[in-house]
Amino acid sequence: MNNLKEFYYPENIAEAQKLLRDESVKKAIIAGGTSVALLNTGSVEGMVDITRMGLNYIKQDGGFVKIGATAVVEELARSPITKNLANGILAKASSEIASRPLRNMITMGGNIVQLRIWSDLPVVLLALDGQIKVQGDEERTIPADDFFREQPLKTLAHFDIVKEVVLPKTPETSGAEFIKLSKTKGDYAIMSLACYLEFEEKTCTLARIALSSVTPLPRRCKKAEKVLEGKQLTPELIAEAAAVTREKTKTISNIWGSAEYKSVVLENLVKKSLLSCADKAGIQI
Amino acid sequence: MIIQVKINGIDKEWDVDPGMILLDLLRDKGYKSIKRGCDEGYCGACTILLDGQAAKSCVMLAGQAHKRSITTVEGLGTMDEPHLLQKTFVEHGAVQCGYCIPGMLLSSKALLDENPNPTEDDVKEAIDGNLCRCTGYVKQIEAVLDTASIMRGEN
Repeated sequence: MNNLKEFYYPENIAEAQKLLRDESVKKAIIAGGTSVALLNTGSVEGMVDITRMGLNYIKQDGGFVKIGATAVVEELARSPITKNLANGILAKASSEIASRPLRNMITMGGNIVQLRIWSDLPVVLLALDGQIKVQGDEERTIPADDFFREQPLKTLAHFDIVKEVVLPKTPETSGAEFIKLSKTKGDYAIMSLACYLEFEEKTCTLARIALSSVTPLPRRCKKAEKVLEGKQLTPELIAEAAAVTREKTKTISNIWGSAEYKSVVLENLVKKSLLSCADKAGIQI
Repeated sequence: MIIQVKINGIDKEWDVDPGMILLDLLRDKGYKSIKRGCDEGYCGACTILLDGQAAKSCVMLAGQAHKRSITTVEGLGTMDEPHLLQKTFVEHGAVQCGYCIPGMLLSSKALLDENPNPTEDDVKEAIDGNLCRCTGYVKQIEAVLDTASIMRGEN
């Protein structure tokens, strides 16, 4: 950060946006800082620290859980609110990010606005039908499916502020699972996935299967979801959904795993994850 | 720019380059207990307490510390009057080369400040960001658990 001359500490969103709209000084947003601090860039002259704007809440509001953009992932891992939401998969995913001192710094917003190898939370938002509230000229609410279609930083305006993530509460007759495959608990994911199933009686009425680190950006596999929806689940049907996920997912290679390896493991993890969702929903298969 | 920091209980005003890495700033200011290890957020040698919570100062900018409170090992104890954690680490032989120990002590302090009755798993989680390449972790974990029991008046 060789040209950085000034830090700004706005106390609210309006103040932050005013700073960001003024382009006489080239500014960037910082929250936890863990991915920004080491950027060796000479282009940023001012840093807008958004951690002092009261956006670090985790709260229940009617049928929704609302999470401020600067809530740190350690809080997400511990909060009784996140632990009680959708079998605690957001808490679980958060607890497996990096290490304790970094979890104290890394924020919800930071983990989702740039989709990098360490972004484990987007799959959870995709599986739980999350929405992202962004303040631009006006406030807009973007479904996770759309938010993650491209790198969010490419689609957000320079004065946009991601302010909140909203997750609907899940019914009793549902089950969710998050699995991160990595060499050690806090290491970057070889792959991660989150699944969610909803049932009426014994029929699966809604399925979401979200994958990360196997494709360039986190994605749902809707073709595999369709295999399950409207049917009573059997081991064969779950195996079919896992096989369809593998077939329809063009896996990518990186230093954490080859495309071929990920493809095989993906099928197994989807199967395992779906069985766990059904089990948590109290459905015997 | 000027930043205000409360470090080890003392208010300071420093004229800093806000884009400097916090680790570099603190070492320049004489807080040499904070170590540079990997320089990219893995090893935990640079751990400080920021508003009482463990944080890695090698992935923070100086500007982020403005109006926040920092604790380093200089604020924990002295040679003559070591903090109980420091004493217990020595008694348990939890230190070999010592490079990871400042970070380990601060992560352990953050744990004991919020949980006087930690389990072994709690200790493991609290120091999961502090890598030791000499002794392993058994002695450190024993030392933290022992400190907790002494603090509870059981030993």
